[in-house]
Amino acid sequence: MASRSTPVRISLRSVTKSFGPTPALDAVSLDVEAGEIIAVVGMNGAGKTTLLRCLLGLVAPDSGEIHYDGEQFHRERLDLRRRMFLLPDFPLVYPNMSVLRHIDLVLCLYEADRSAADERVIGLLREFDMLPYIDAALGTLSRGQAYKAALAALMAVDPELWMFDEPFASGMDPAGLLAFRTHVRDALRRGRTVLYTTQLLGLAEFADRVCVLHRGRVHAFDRIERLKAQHAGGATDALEQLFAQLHEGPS
Amino acid sequence: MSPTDRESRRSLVHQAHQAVRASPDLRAEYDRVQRARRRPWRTPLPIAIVAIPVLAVTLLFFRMLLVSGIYTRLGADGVLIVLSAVETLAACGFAVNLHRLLRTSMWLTVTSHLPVSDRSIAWHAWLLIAAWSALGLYPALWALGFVAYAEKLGPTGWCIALAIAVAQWLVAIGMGTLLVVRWPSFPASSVAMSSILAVALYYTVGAPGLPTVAHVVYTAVPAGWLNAAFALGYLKGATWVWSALVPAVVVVAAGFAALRKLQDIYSIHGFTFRFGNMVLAASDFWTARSSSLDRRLFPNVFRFFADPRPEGPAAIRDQVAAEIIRRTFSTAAPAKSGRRILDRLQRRFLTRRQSDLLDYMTADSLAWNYIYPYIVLVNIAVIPLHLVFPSVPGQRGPNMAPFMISMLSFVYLFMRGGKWFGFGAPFFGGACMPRFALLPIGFDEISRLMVKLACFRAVLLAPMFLVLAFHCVAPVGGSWFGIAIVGTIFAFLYLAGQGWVIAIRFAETMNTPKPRLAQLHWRIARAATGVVGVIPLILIADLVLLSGMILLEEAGLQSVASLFLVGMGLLIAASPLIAWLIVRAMYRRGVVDLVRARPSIGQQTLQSYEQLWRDPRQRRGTPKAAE
Repeated sequence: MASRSTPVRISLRSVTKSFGPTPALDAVSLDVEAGEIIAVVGMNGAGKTTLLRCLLGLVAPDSGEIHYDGEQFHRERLDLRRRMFLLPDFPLVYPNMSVLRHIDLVLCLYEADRSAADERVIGLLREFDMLPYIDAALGTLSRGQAYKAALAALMAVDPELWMFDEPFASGMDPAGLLAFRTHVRDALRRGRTVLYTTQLLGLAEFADRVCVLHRGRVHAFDRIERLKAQHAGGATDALEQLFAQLHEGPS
Repeated sequence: MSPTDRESRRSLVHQAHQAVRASPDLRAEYDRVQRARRRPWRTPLPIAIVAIPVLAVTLLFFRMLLVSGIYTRLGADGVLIVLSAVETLAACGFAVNLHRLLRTSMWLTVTSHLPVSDRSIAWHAWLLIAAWSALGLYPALWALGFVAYAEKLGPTGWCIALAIAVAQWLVAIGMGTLLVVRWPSFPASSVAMSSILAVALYYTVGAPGLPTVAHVVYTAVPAGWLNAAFALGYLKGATWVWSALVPAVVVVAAGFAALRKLQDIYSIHGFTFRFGNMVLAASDFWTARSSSLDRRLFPNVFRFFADPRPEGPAAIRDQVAAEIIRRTFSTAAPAKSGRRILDRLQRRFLTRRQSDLLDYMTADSLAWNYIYPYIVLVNIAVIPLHLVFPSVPGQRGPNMAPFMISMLSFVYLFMRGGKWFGFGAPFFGGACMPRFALLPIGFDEISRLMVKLACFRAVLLAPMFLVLAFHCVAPVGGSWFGIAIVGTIFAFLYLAGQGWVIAIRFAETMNTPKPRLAQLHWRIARAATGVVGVIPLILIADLVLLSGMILLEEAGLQSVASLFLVGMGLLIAASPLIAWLIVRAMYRRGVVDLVRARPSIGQQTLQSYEQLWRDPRQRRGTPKAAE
């Protein structure tokens, strides 16, 4: 890969974004250390997806700054963008393109090291049960299969920052979800940073730290054990209780 | 919706609002959401930006276009033949769209999950198309109203013209419904296209034998029966022609009977979900429609409504197991030998990165390569037209038809050849994001690639520029030098226009900047550089140029008029660069998002243009990896 293969540190400073009068992100400040898995949780409309889109440059913040390893980010910083990917819950693929051709083009555009990537691709396709479909058009696949194809392409690139929007609601089967978790853990060992959003509180515990967004603000950002200790005296359903409070409490 | 349904709905709405009002927190949140939703000026503003100049220009040129056009030259019959063709188009369009809605629609996507009867689906699909078909009233009112005005008819004449216009609409609906129910395999698209083309061709060659042709149209075409009643029965006093109303009434009545039958017999056998596309409802109607001539003539349109390929996982698995053993993954890119010669040639001028970028942004499309030879052939074929028809019978001046054919073929190549699917932003998960934005692809590198390709294509298009120049210069006795000069001007316009092409492509992937006073200039810039915004911009530029020239010439300021002309010329020539710079600034400064809540009209237009033409290579099926 053309980019550096060093862990990436993310820093958000008072990032604000609103759509009309509705604030999607309200002065969000976060520091994510390299080699962490971060789960972003929150209710519908809390700003989870907007946060990820800001991090990729799809959405431009109204104010505030985003830094990767201390360097300010904007969407024309291709050197930084080659070090990350974002996979939406509905992958954007060409319906007429075959799985292999899609993967090939993604590797080319990320300028990935092909000798290493090709082997990874075969392994990933095998684990995601996608080998039978390599020449099938993406438009003829189910949503979960198309997601796996897109996932295999980006995982094969293996940049420093992995971002997923609702990966656990992507239509993947249990085997696919298991493979996904295994690969994320492996990536962590290689120093990758992983951010994912989820509505399933049980799956937030898969992360090192949890960021609770509520109405565009960071309500909590800590390790899961500490969140549990703070909010429900260490009860197993601490996150559920926290959300119940947020749901009932004043805005 | 029955009265009981309506009452239930009102009751539900009332209770829901009461529940909201009961809690101050809920009410505050509700008000906030409503404030975001209610922006009454948001929709009218872009409509006004487009509509006002279009209306102004239409009104300004209304007299010139119609009075000095068809009516003055050919009389009422000339106008009514065109109206008959347009109403035939409306009836065929009704049939095609009703078929499409019965096969797939957003509404079907929703109802496929709900216990909704097929009868209800058929009724609502018909109702929706009937509502849209009211647009067919517009040309009828326009044409008949103008005839009434030009013939200086009294109130009775105006009332009859109005009644005939409304009846035209009803006949179109009735005819459309009849075609769907009684003759589903009727090639509606082919008939609509050929009738419009036939009329255009007939008028281009000077409309010979108009009275005879008018009688044929009035007799043979259902949309012509009412025109016959108006033109011959009312305007010329042939009382017996009023009997033409009888078959028209029969068609309307039969149409409504067919609607009842449609509700009775429309039966959905099952739904198919196409990923990223649509829900398809399988029914006998579609089977019949699929066997029509339209399918042969418009295979790409039908492709969207076709079921996914019925290959089972087992079949694919067997096929692929052998493939895996035989080759490695790294040969998955299409074989170079599989590419067309022009594509191979243009890649010699691209870097490796640009070549990859081209593959991704065009989704491996080689459409340009396939269209180019056809367009060259068309251009060569129209050159002899100057010898056969040096001028159109009944018209002064040279024959402009060959120029128009060349120009249209050029525009076709330009539009269809530029298939940049990477700018496409499918609607998924409540948002539209352009494909390129998710990958590390920059604004400047896409721009560079597009300019590079345009330069390469300008060289290939040189013969076509010369043909266009020939059409312009040869009829007025120009020399070969003159042809070369005009050809060079065409080439310059083509290259200069690339700035607009790139600007529009990017602008359509962007949302509208925030509605704040400080952002007003960006909002205007975004609106002006979009597909819809360019139309009023062209019209305004034309108006300013023409009116400015006329005013200055009338005031006797010849030198100022020349300067004004040069200044406006320079501004227009520089506009592509200005547009590109503005869009680039919006992109780089983060004034806009690359996410839209819904697809823009321009984006939808571009996408539908791009999807209509596919490479023959892709038409055969999924592209295979290299052998």
